[in-house]
Amino acid sequence: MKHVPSFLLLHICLFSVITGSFAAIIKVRPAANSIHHAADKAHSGDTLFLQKGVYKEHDIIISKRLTITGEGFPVIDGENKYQVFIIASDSVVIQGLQVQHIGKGSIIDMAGIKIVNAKYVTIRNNRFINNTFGIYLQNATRCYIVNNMIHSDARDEINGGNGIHAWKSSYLSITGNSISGHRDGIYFEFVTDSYIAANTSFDNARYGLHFMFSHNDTYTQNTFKSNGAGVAVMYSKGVIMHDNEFVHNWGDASYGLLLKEITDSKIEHNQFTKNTVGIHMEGTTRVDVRHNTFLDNGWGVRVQASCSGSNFIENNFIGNSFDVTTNGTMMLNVFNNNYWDKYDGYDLDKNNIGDVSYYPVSVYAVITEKIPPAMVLYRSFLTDIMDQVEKVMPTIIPDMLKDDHPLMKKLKL
Amino acid sequence: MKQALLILLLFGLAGLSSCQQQFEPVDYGHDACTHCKMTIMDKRFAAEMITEKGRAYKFDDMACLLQYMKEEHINSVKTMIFVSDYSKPDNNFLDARQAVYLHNSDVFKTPMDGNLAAFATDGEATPFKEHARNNQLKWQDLASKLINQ
Repeated sequence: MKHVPSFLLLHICLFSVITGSFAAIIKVRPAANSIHHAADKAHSGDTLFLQKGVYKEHDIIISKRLTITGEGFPVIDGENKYQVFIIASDSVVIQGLQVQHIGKGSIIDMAGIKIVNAKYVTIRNNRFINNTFGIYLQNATRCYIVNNMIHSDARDEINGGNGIHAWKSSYLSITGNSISGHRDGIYFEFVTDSYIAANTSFDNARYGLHFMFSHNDTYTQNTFKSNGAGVAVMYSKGVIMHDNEFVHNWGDASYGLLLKEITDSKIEHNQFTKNTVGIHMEGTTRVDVRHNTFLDNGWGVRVQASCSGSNFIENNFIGNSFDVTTNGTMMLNVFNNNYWDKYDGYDLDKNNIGDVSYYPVSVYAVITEKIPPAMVLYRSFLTDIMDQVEKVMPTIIPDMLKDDHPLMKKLKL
Repeated sequence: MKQALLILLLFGLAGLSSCQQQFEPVDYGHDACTHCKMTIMDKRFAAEMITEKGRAYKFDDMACLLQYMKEEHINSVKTMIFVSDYSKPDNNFLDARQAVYLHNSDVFKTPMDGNLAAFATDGEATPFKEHARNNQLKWQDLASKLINQ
């Protein structure tokens, strides 16, 4: 029995150490500057528990490792004049809040939550309503933006900001968000090694997703729908895009996917449905386009003559007005083993591969590429004649752009 | 005789209107940049070039315009060049050759990273000079500064 006291003592010691380091939970109720005061008082590791209500506070700078949790989506209102949270510390968590009515600045970009020079920040399950910028990341590393709803009513869509805006950041993970009514849904500039998955970006004024100078990023299982101009991926290398849906991006300068100056990238298992142009490529090098479905687009793929070393293999082209078009006669890209619903060749040896090559660029695609207004005569008697003549005596269509092994049956993708 | 004159007059008018070098307002949110293909959205940084034949090319960033001029070898002085006024951006365009420019990548975040803002006069640029660390440029300096980025 002599051992017991020391044993107990040890327990008491350990317990006090643990409780001493235990993070406090601070309840915050709506009052003037209540979040400000709570954030000032709190120590690193504490949790601010925001009760339901409306908080009219702005420029709340979080410079400690805090967790801010909302109960029943408390509203933090920027009154159309101010920005709300500025996170300047690592490992901050913000969840369950509704941030709304952020103002507009001429020099600074105002955002619902701004992450500046911080790491391991998590922004989870929040609502962002009618803000200039929703979430703004600047020099952020390894941050998680998960399951947020970011919506703006596009009061001033031209001057509006982006839903999620990242600049000079790396290793971000942006998943499960829904973004609508902003200028660009997700905007990346100088962002590397990041992962964008399962987001829905729709009804944005310009692009659903916009990449600039952002290398080695992956985006997968996202849906980009009815955006002003689709999705743009520009001046980047090592971009992996797979299992995304590009739907109904319709308009004069609209593209399902606009690629400009892209190097060593992969586009696989995507669905391009009802876009003006499925993919528009300009100045791309070594881009692999495999196992995609191009359905009911105006133009399936528009490959400018400045593209080289790209492979289009095992894709389905179904119901597009024009499958492929190009603006030159040179073709340094490969088309092989695709399914084209317009292919009318035969397969005598029954190996499921057509015995004659398919030329996916139609005469009229060439003509409208040079003279866009000629489109008014599309599907007229005249163009039918031209098509027939071209079949007998090919003169206009680029003969280097062809699929030598067109498939007879649609690929199951 | 009267009819012939009328027809001539009509043709003459048609000819005049098509060849005039005239500024064409930018339709923000719809017009695409000639060089980078992006939709022009930011009123503060748009630019426009009108060729001798009167065709208008619109750009979302001064850097795009300069790059395009270089690539297409456009160097005629008769080409009209306009740039959006940073301090009064509502379709208020300045003669790009007369404008005063400030260059700073932290303050002026243009769509294509040209990071250049244009002002009508030296005086109008003054409030922004401190932010831009006095990095002031003239039209003649722009090409060398931006194109080789």
